[in-house]
Amino acid sequence: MTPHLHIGGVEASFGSFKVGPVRIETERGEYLALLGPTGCGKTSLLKCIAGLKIITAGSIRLAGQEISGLPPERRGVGLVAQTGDLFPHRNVRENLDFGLHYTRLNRTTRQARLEKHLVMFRIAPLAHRYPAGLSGGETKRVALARAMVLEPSLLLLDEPFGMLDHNGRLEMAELLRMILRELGTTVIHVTHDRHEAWSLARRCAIMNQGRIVQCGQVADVFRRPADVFTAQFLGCENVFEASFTEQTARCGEARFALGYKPPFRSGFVAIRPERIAVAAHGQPHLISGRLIELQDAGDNLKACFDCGALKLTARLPLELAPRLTLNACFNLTWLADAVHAIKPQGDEGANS
Amino acid sequence: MPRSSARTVIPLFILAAHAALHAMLGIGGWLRPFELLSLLLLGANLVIALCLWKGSWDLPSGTCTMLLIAGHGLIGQRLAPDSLTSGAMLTVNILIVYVGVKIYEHLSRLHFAAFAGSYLILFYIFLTRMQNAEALFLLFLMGLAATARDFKLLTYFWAIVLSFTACQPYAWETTFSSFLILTALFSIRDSNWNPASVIFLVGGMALLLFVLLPVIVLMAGEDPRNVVAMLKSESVRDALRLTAVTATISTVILAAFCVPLAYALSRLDFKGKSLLLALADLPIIVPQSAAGLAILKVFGKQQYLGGIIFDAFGIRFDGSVFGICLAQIFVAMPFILKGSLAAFESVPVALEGAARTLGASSFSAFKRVALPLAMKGVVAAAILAWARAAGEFGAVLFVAPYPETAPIAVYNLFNSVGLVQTAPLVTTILLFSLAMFLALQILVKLAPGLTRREGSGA
Repeated sequence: MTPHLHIGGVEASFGSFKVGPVRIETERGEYLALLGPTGCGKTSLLKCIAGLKIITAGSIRLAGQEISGLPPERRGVGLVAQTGDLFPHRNVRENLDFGLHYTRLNRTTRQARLEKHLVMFRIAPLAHRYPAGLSGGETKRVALARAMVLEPSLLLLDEPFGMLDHNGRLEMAELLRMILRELGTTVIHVTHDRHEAWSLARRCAIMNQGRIVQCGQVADVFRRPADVFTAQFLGCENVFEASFTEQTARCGEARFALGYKPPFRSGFVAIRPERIAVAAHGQPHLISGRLIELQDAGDNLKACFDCGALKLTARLPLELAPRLTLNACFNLTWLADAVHAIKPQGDEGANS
Repeated sequence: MPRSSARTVIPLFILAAHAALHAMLGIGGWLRPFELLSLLLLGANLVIALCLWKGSWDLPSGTCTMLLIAGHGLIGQRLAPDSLTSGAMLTVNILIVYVGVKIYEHLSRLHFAAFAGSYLILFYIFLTRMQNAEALFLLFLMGLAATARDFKLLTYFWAIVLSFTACQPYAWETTFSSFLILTALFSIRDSNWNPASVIFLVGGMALLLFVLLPVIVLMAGEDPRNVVAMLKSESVRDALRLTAVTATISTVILAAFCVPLAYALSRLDFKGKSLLLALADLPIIVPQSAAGLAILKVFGKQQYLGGIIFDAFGIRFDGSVFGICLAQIFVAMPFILKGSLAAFESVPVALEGAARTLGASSFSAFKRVALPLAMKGVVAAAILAWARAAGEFGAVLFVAPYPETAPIAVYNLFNSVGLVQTAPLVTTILLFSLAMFLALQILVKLAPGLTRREGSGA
């Protein structure tokens, strides 16, 4: 089956900043999270797909049709910008009607479609308000509705949760799930927040410095980051240089089991901090270290251990707090699948 | 003394004291029993007694009023010109005492000091500068009583008083202008302000007033009948009509070309753009006479290009309406171009991007997003260009001294009859220009779709 959206070898330049080559494929109705730090080219890539920036190389195919040569108005791609970009001289209803103007639908169909979307996105009470009088969440909902009223087969969301408070985020997430479930729209959701991505997407692509560094199922990317950047970006605080012999990783004095044989001799190991546990006294353990820093992070305890050559950070359950005293030594342990081997930097071969 | 009994005793005491005073004055031969003043005093005393009894007035104000009445009774008997004036003064003074007591009770000491000080100064002004103007003085006192509760109102009140006492015979003009200035100052005080900007404002306004003074003096000093006579004159009306029509044509042509150009310049970035922008300012830099000559050199009927156009279309520029428009277009162009450019630059490009993804072509995005959002600035620029075109003298004089536009008419009249006789025409033209300018501005304010735009999104 051919993918619904196929982005192949797309390159674009924005002054001195280069994006690409980028390759992404998504199935119809798929929700893809595009994750990356600020300034990595996520928004630029969206603009390339929407047609607001000209690409210098590569192809973009939507439902089998090459769209990279088309002007933005003929691509049928919905884009919701970070700030919403509502037209300040039109009220909410007129904002929604803006795109319908070009659809050549008859008047009654247009009206019906508009009313339906006003209700669906819970903005009917705002219909006659102007954008300057809307809250952040309302602005985002209207922008989303304005794009969705045209029923695009591909929706591009640029930081849809940006500038929203907790309730706004919940509401927005619910609307996005509805789009996914009921309308079957293919969505690319750009964000820098991995929790946001996890809550909605099954697949994600990690972007860094204009390139896609890893693309795959969320769980896969999370457990098996392809490079040091991805590991750290996804919250893995323990990344160490290591050499590998058979199924064992070796960092300085310490050795841990990997559970599989990596295809390279040296590289890095990443140990998920939330998988590290404190072993009871006398129990088998992998390493022991002195607790040098303890911080209550709300839903977990961030504990830093000095284990000789390695500085390990663990995310421990809150119940352990009474047992943890600074400068005391603790035995640490984890299961083999908490450790992941990462290819050395600059080696492009091992990405699946 | 308990409060309730005081309420009963004091009014009775007042009335008794009144009766006693009257009896004494009567016995002494100072007062006849049913004189008007006597009746007024009795009425006032009754009112006060009633107020005290009902509890809506209190002891200090009651006492003050009693003293006031006694004093006035004596003054009225000896000094006041007639008993009616005396009675009015008494009534107003009771009001002043009442207001004074209320201010003392409810507002700050500063309010009270301002009130008392204002009263004393007013009284001083009355004694020194307002002989035989008791009615005006009483009016001022009532004004003071009405405005003393608020410093802002009090300031406006003093602006009126000073205008009408110190600035005669320009009292109304002074009142009007001082109100304008005070309103500006008060709104500055209520907003965010800093000393530097206020000082700069005052300094700048001084120069502005100095520059505008001739125009203001000319307009204020002219007899309106002369202006009406001018407006009835056929030649003046022709000149004004020609000016309005040519300026409008010029502005329409300018808008048709320069507004799209301004949009292009705001959206495109190309090599030589800054040079183009500098060239667009050329009409401001070039002396108008030189510009006129240059136009004549190229578009004159005997010249090459002008000759071709004349042969092809039968249109001549020198000494024709087309020439006037050409000269006006030349001098007004930078105003509409730069104004529109600024307006378009203030419209975020992202909004047009959003329009494009919603199905708008680039033309449609211009028409439905960029232009409506920039419209306010574009129209302001067009009005400025219109005014510039209508007022153009130098270039028009060289290209087309006839038919006469208004500026040329002034020049010709001045040359033939001199300064004094030209003044009514100048005033007429000034008023006409001002009226057109204001009318256009108001039209823009009232036009739907232009005012609806609010600031940036949330």
